[in-house]
Amino acid sequence: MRVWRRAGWYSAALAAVLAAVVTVSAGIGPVSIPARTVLSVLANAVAVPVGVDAGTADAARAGVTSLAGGVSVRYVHPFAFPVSDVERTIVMRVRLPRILLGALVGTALAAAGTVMQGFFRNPMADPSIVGVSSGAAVGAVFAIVSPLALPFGLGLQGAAFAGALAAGFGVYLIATRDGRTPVATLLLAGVAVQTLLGAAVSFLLLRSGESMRRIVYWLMGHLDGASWGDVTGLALVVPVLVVVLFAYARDLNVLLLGESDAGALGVNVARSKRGLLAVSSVLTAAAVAVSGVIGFVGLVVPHALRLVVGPDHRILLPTSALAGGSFLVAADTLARSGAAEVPVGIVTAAAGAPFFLYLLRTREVYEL
Amino acid sequence: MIGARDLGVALGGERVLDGVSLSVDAGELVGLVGPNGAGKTTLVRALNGTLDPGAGERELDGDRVAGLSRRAVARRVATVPQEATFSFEFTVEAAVEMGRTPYVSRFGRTDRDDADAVRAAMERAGVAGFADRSVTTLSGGERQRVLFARALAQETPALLLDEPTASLDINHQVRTLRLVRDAVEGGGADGAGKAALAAIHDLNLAARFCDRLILLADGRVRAEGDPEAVLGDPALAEAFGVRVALNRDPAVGSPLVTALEDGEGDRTTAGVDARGAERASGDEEDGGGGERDGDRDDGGDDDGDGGGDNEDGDDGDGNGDDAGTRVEADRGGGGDTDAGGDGGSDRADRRSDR
Repeated sequence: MRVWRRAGWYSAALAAVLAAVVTVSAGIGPVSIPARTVLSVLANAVAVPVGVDAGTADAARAGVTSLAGGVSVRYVHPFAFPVSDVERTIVMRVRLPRILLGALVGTALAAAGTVMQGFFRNPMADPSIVGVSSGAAVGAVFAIVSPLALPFGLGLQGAAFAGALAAGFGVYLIATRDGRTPVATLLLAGVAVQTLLGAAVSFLLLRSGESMRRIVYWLMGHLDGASWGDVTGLALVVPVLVVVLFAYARDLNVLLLGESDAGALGVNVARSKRGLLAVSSVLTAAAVAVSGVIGFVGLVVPHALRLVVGPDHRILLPTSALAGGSFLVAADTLARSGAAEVPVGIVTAAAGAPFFLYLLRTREVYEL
Repeated sequence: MIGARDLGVALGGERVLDGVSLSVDAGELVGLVGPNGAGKTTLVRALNGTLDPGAGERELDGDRVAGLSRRAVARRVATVPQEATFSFEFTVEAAVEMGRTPYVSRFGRTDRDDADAVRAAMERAGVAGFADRSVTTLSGGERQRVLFARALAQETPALLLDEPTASLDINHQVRTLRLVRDAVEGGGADGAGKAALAAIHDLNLAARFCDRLILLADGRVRAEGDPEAVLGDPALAEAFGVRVALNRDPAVGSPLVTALEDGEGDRTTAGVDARGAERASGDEEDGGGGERDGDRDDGGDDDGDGGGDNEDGDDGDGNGDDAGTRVEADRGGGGDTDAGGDGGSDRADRRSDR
C-alpha cells in the first residue's frame, strides 16, 4: 500500500535522474554535444522489429539482422531526426556503451551493497565482503600474467568472474558448519580470505614484469574499452538479479530483527540467507569481471539512500540500485573528462570516502 | 493448542531439554518458570519451530509442527522475544506490519486484511498513538508493546513469550502481562482466546497472572499445576537451590514467594527469622526496596568478617549444591553483629525484588 506507492514514486524519480545523467554524460567529452542532439541520436536508434524473413534474405540490407539458420528480422526505425554521422558515431559507438556499462555496474554494486549491509547488519559491509572482488582480482591478474592460454576459452573477464564465484562460494563453505552459516563467521571468513587473496595478487603483481601497468589499471576499476558486447552481457544479467533480490526485500527487513525473530515470523532463514548471498555475489562478480574493482559505490550509495528513504528494503533496494547507476555514470564522466583520464575507481573512492566520513560524523552510526 | 510430547534438545552435545511434555489450551496462560539455564528459551524456540528438537513431537493448533512450512508455523504461533534489536529506523507501524510476513507472498502487496490486522493490533497493544514514530526512539516498555503488537498482528491462535517482562520496570511488567492476559481471554478482533505460554523470570508475577505454572529445571519439567501448588512444591526450592517462604500478597492476593538467605526465616535463628518474615509479607516495602537497591553495593557485604557466620549457616539448610553454597558465601556478613539488623533486611528486600 503506502510502502509500494512510496517505492514507486522514489523509483520513478530516480529512474528519471538516471536517464538525465546518461543523456548529459553522453554530451560531455572532447567533442561537446548538446542534450537535444543526444536525444535525437537515441531516438533514431530505436528499432522496432516488424517481421521475420525465413530463407535466403539479403542479409546485407539495412534494417535487417540475420539470425542463425538463415532467419532474419526486419526492423523499422520510426524516428529519423537529422544528426551528423560524427555525432551519431561519437554517441553510439564511443560514449554510450561506456555510459550504459557504468549504469549497469553501478546498479549491480549498489544493489549488492544494500543487500550485504542488511544481511550482515553491519554498516561497513560492501559487495565484496565475502571475498568476491578479491577472487575476481586473482582471476584477472592470473589471466594477465599467465603465459598459458586459459582453459575453456576463458578470457580476462571469464577468469575474473570464475575467480569471484570461487572465492564467494569458498567463503560460504568455510563459514558453514552443520548446515548453519552464522553471519559473524561468514564476515570473518570473508576478511581472512580477502587477506589471503590480496597476498596472492601482490605476489602475482611482483612477478608480472611488463604487464604490471595493465594489472594495476584493472585493479583500480575502469569502464573504458567498454563494448556493446559487455553491455549486452550485463544487461541480460543485472536487471534480472536485481528483481530477484527485490523479491527478498521483505525477508531482508525481517532479517534485520535477528535470525531467530525472522524465523518466528515465518521466514525460512537458512534458505533466504543462501539466496541473498548467492544472488548478490553473482551480481557483484558480473560487475567486477567487466569493470575491475570499483570501490565505495556499494558502500556509500545504500547509506545515502537509507538517509533519504529509510531502512525498508522494499523501497531502499530499487532506489539504491538506480542511484548507484547514476552515481557511477556521473563519477565516470568526471573520470574521463579531465585532462588525463583516470580510472573511475579513483574518482568513486575520492568522492565516496569523504562523504562516508561525513555520514560518520554527522549521524550516529547506527548498527543496522 | 500448544502441545509437546517427550521433547528432547541437545545443543553442542549437551542435553538442554529432556523429555519435556506439556500442553496449553486456548484461553489459558501458562507460565514457564525455572532458574537461569533451565532451558526455557530453548523450549520456546523448539515450540515456535526455529529450533529443531532431536526428539519428540510438537503440535500447534492440531497440526504436527514437523510437517508444517515455516510460514504455516508462523500463522499458528507468534513469539514475543525478550528484546528486539531495534537500532534501525523503522516506524512503529512498519515494525508491527512485519507480523504480517507469514501472510504476504514475495511480490504480493499487503491488502486490506493486513492493514486491518495491523491497526487492530496497534490499538490493542496501545501503540497506535505513536504509529509513525521511529522504533529507535521508544522506551523499553513501549518497545515491548510494539513487539506484542507485532505478535498480535500475526493473528495466531497460539502465543509464546520469552521473558517479556525481564527488562521492564514494575509498571510496564504489569501492563505487559495484562495485555497478554487480555489476549488469552479473548476480546480481540476475532473474539477468540489465545493459548499462551510465557517464560517468566519473576515467580510472583508469573503466579499472579498465569492460570498454571510449569517449573522447568535442568531441561526437565519438575512441577506443574496451579501457581500456588507449584510455588509450594519442594521441587521449586530444589530447582533454584535456595529456600523459599511462601506467603500471600496482601495487595492482590496472589501467592508470594520469597527467596530466603541462610538464617532468614529459619527457626534456629529466631531473630533474623522474625525480620525476614516481616519483610516478606510487607508488600509496599517490597516496592520501596526495588527503588532503593540500585545504589547498594554487594561488595561491601562479603568483605572480611563473614567467615564465622558462614559455618553455622551452612548446616541450616540441606542444600549441598553449588548455587546454594555460592548464595551462602555471598551473604556471609549478614548475621554480623553491629549493622546486622539493617544489613539483613536490606538484603531481604533486594532478594525478593529479583
